Amino acid sequence: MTITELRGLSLPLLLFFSIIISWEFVTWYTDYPKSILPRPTVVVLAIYNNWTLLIKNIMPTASVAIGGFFIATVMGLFLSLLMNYSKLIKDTLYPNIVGFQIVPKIAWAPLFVLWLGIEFESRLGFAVFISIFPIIISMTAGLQNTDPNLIRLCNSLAANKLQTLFLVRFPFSLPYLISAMKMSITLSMIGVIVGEFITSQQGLGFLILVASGKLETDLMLASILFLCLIGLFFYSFIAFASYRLEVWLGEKSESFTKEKKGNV
Amino acid sequence: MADHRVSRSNSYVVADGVEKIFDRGKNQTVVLGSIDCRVGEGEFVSLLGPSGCGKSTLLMIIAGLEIPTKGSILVGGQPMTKPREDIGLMFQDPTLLPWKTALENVLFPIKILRRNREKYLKVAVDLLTRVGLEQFLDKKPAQLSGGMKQRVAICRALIYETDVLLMDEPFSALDAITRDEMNQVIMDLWQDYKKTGLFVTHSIREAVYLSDRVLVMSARPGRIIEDFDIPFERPRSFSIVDTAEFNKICGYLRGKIHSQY
Repeated sequence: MTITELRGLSLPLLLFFSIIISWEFVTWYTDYPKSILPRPTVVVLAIYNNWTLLIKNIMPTASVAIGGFFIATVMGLFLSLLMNYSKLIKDTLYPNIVGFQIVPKIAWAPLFVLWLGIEFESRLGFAVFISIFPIIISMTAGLQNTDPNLIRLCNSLAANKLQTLFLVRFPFSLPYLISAMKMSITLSMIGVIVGEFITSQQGLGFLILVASGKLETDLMLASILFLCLIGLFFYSFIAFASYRLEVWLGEKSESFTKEKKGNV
Repeated sequence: MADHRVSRSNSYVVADGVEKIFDRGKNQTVVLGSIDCRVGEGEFVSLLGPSGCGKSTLLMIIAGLEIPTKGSILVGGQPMTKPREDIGLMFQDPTLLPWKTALENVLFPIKILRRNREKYLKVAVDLLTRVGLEQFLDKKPAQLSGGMKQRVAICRALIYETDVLLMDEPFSALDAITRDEMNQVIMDLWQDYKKTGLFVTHSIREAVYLSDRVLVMSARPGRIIEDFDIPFERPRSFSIVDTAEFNKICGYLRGKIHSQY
């Protein structure tokens, strides 16, 4: 590990632990009410005491979030490819999507419950709804921004629209897709939690709501910590995909050792 | 494709009264004002002119990628109405696919044209070897230098048996030393492959060194104001650029370009 890498890792960790330690110390010293701001050690204790409860509620939230994200990615991809293929569809659809994007989407959550019921379908639907926009908008931009000379080259070879779309435009816009997926997975989680706040009998969002009703602030914070961990877990998959993409695009070499040699 | 070839004629590419007007509502920009020019089969002709004179537009019209407002283009005796397989293109940037290796980039036109890959694999390797990239067949563009990438782009333009190669300032983004190297590569390839070449550049030296004939264009609206035969025998060696005659020709052409300001 080089000095730069060590620094990159140690500085954020240093800040994080100083905040946790001062939080611990100040709340302990002032004897701050546990129901408003429990000490970090109390939160850890709450995790230990509610372990099975927390574990049981991971899946309902995580599965709907990943499902929503997956559907949004596939649908968003399909729509942006379709809009790139047909100018008529794009001219009709895209201004509506952009216009709709401006509306605060959270406000629609109760309607999804009304339309899709109180089971997981409404939460899934809502997660898809709020996480599809970055995919459509980024991919549309990515497909559009392909090097115009490369498109000229395809045209000079009399390539048909589908060849240009799948052999050139689509691979070119993959970096756009990856960065949109990073946004989309976070939004999908938000969608599911908001859905759980409104109507649910399970999930970490539901657990937060129940704990809040009973003033169990330590359990609320414990649930939030679990949500962070799930988010981090999903994010790391996309970060890995992003790394593989850079290797594929030749921007990074296959192994780290090779890359270091190249940099010297 | 053989039917495009009308014997070895001295007018393989013909532009006949080509005009191009960009019409943006109230603003009409006359980019090309009536261009007549001929390029013989196997001839290498450079289009030289100030920036914005419409040289690139003329090239895109010849490639069938832009429609002229007036006039017509004949390539190999056939009118150009849409892009054709016998015409290859090179741009200022190499425009390679970053995720494909040098070899796969060269084979890209074969894939688009749905021709037999196996048959062209050896051709691609031969071409890349010819330009000195045999060690780099499986390298991706990010691992190649600017000059190497343009060499790949040349091979890509040659692989599908193009008769005409249209080059739009292909080396203007390269440093001076690499540029001289690339001129040599083009010169050597021309010796072997005998294509008809139209080369857009704003480097007088490059134009004189490479071409059989140099056409000088005026500032917008572009017209051809000089048609100059380059007297040097082929094959040429790079030492000719230091001769008095070479410099005299360059000086003459420079005078022609500057006469319009």
